[in-house]
Amino acid sequence: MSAPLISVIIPTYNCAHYLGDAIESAFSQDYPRLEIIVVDDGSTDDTATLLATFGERLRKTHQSNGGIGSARNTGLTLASGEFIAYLDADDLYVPGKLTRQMACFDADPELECVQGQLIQFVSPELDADFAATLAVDTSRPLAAPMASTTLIKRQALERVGPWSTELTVGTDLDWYARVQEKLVKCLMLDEVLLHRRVHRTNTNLVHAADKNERLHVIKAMLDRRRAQQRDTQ
Amino acid sequence: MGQRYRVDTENIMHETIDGEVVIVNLETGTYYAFDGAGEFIWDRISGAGASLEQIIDAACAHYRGLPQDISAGVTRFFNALQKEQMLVAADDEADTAPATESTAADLASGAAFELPRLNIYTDMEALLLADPIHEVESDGWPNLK
Repeated sequence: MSAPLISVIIPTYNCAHYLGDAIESAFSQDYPRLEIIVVDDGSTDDTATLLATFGERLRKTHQSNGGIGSARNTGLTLASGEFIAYLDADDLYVPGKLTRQMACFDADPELECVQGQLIQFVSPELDADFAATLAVDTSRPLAAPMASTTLIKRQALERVGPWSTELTVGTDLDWYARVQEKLVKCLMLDEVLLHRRVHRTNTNLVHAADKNERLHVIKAMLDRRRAQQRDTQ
Repeated sequence: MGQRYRVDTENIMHETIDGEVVIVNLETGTYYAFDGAGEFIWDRISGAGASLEQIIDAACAHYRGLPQDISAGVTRFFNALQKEQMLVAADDEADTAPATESTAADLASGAAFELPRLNIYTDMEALLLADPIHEVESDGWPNLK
């Protein structure tokens, strides 16, 4: 019996300078049955040119800018895999990531979602002075129940529902809250599965409203859970 | 007047949404929610800051109930906020302004005092700690993870 197909969905927006590395990290996986889907969410940089260099190896689509949630949802409509993985355009899978995760599904057929640790790295093009100012811990792994470490059964993903198309910084938080609410059986591996790129970061550029979006996601989550509790009483 | 305290804005994100205070501690990944008298207490602290004594006085003026019960309830809630590392002493130059002035909310509301309860949640700890809240740019969502 052949191995199940994994669809790797890579949403991207104006990230041509890092996207090639992300795609290569997916193509370099040793898992035998992969389809890699890039959803260009209305990029205005060199993304189209870059994608063309991958030829037919890559499935790709272009849409007008709708945000990362919208692009991930589009990717799923194109995906044929029984298992779905995500990769942000500026991050890198570690070698063997998907094989390691699939071994977990083999060991426990009830399992629906496998996630793991990430480790951050400072993008090499950053000048040393700027890099030194970044308050980023690149020395220790972080448990990361977020899209780019996730490998999930398609059925479970559909039970969780689509990614929010309204949110920006709260997208993964909202999604993971719903993963928990839908009682998706998850496993968090102790191993590093992802290298997260830190680049041109600047806290001062963050709008307070964006930061507080997470609080609104949490409030909505609490309201849902309380309503669910009332319904079951 | 006792030591005044304010919210540790370096590590604490907070907002009152539909009458409920929602807080994330970025250092620990713990989040919190409370309403009612808890919101009243938080409002006193989250402005210019306030001492425990000031908050107790305001709560006694605002709520109906025995002063000793109100004092005990406010103190317990205040201590819980401190234990969760949400507060810092308001002792620098910028914090020498008088505590939040009396507002309509400080006036007698006639509402009975109910013990405020700090709800503490740790189920999203890993995601909140890994979420690069300090690492976003303004141009393009690949960076707004």
